[in-house]
Amino acid sequence: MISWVIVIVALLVSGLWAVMFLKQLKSGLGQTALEDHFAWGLYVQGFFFFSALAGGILIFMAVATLFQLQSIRPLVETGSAVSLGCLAAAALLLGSDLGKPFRGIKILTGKNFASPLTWDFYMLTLCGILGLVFFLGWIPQTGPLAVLWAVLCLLAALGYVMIHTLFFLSRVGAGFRSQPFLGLDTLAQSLLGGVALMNLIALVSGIHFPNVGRLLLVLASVTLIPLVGGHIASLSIKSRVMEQKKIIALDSFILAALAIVVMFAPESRVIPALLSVLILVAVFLEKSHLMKQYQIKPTLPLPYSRYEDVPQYSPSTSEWILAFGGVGVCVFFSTLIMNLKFFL
Amino acid sequence: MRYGMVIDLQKCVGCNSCTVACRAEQGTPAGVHFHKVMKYEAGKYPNAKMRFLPMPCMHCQDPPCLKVCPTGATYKRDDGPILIDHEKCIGCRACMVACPYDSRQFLWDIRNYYAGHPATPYEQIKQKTFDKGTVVKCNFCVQRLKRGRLPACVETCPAGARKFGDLDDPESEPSRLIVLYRGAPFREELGTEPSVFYIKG
Repeated sequence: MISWVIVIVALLVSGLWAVMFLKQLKSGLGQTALEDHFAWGLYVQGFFFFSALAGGILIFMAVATLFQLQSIRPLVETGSAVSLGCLAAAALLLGSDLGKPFRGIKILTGKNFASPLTWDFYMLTLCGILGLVFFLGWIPQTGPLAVLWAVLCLLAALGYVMIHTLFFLSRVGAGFRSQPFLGLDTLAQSLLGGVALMNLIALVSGIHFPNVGRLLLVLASVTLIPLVGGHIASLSIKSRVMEQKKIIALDSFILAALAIVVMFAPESRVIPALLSVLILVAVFLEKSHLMKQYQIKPTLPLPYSRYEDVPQYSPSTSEWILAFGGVGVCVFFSTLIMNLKFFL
Repeated sequence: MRYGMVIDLQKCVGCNSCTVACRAEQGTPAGVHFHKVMKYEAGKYPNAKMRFLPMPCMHCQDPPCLKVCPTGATYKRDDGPILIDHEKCIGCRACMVACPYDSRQFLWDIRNYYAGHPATPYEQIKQKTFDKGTVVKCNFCVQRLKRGRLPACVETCPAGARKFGDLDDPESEPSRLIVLYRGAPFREELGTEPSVFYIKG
């Protein structure tokens, strides 16, 4: 019953999303609140968010396959559909953000391998292919092919996650506001978000996810440390832009709550599920912070930028709908392909 | 051969003629400036002074914008200028995020100068060269260089603060000025090797 309600809501959201997407394609990015000093907004934040989740799920699937964890095989199979849904939402959001989305294919012919976006495009495609072949059941549960798939998947998903750190390399390389733990932070957020989403899928699909509380606890710890490291770095170089107190507070709360659940209610499924929702919020906030961190201040140093306005970005309604409608697209797409597979 | 520019900040009076000449030459839509003049204060009252920093694209020899462009739309000519192939630009804006000089702008919309009125005949002609949804920037007026003329900002500067020429030729005027007055690029420490040098005021 719950799953049908989710599907219907997802269908409605996807419908609204499709209308806004077409409107966006017709009128261009002029209708957004983006401007030259804040060129990447909610769409790119959403792209980073969904691709991080997809990367996290694919890493989880690869590890489960490598270690032959048969008990969670149904969860991994469902996860493959959701990873494809996340990738679809990420790709569509990236498409929404391009000034000329129909020229996107030129990334293939551009062959500029110094560009993070080129690598992102290739890795996104590779992750999609690997997720699809698993979803179609072409990968056996054991044997050399399973190992080969798992290794390829692990490399592609890890590479994909790490490329998202490279997006800001040009600025970091130029001595801009660098966050020394950005790579680890990106990876940890991806894993935590991916497992949190898997947990929600398990709850909705009625699939058992053993030791999910403990796994989330480990990943929440791994996530918190680079965030704290980045914050200490911001204090040492007196860069208030890099401060992320609110996200650290939220992640600390999640960590403490998970620790209490593992200690006193290890069999509970509802509390880890609620915390999983909170984790997804925290991951999105971190992606949002990352975008702002690199754009909120004028590019030129003082005194040259004294009379420049600090960019204020307030996303338009269409941006909110397209970015958050991505959740509906992800759920609808995953459910659709799962049902298609069932019928086939 | 490497085209470059020297801007003498002692001579610059901040009149923005260069900005206006650039807009007239390129026919940029309203709100789009390939060239800007940053103003800032130096010193403190009663000895404070208003100073100016004219900023075209720096046409770096090691440009971050070129490295991040996924389609190869941004390219470097053999003689130095960094240009954009608008047919290849997908409007991802990675170059804008990468540029440490704020030299690039995105065409969110193509607007007329007289809001609420149709485009003037001049705008109608010039706007055809702009493609909404792509990134634009200063091109060192390559269309003028082809005809043997100097960039519009250089030709128009009433104070003669700008000199343009071949930086590889030690006898060219900009090369001599750089040596004579110790000209330096803006934010040299970034290592992007700009082709625009400044003589400090």
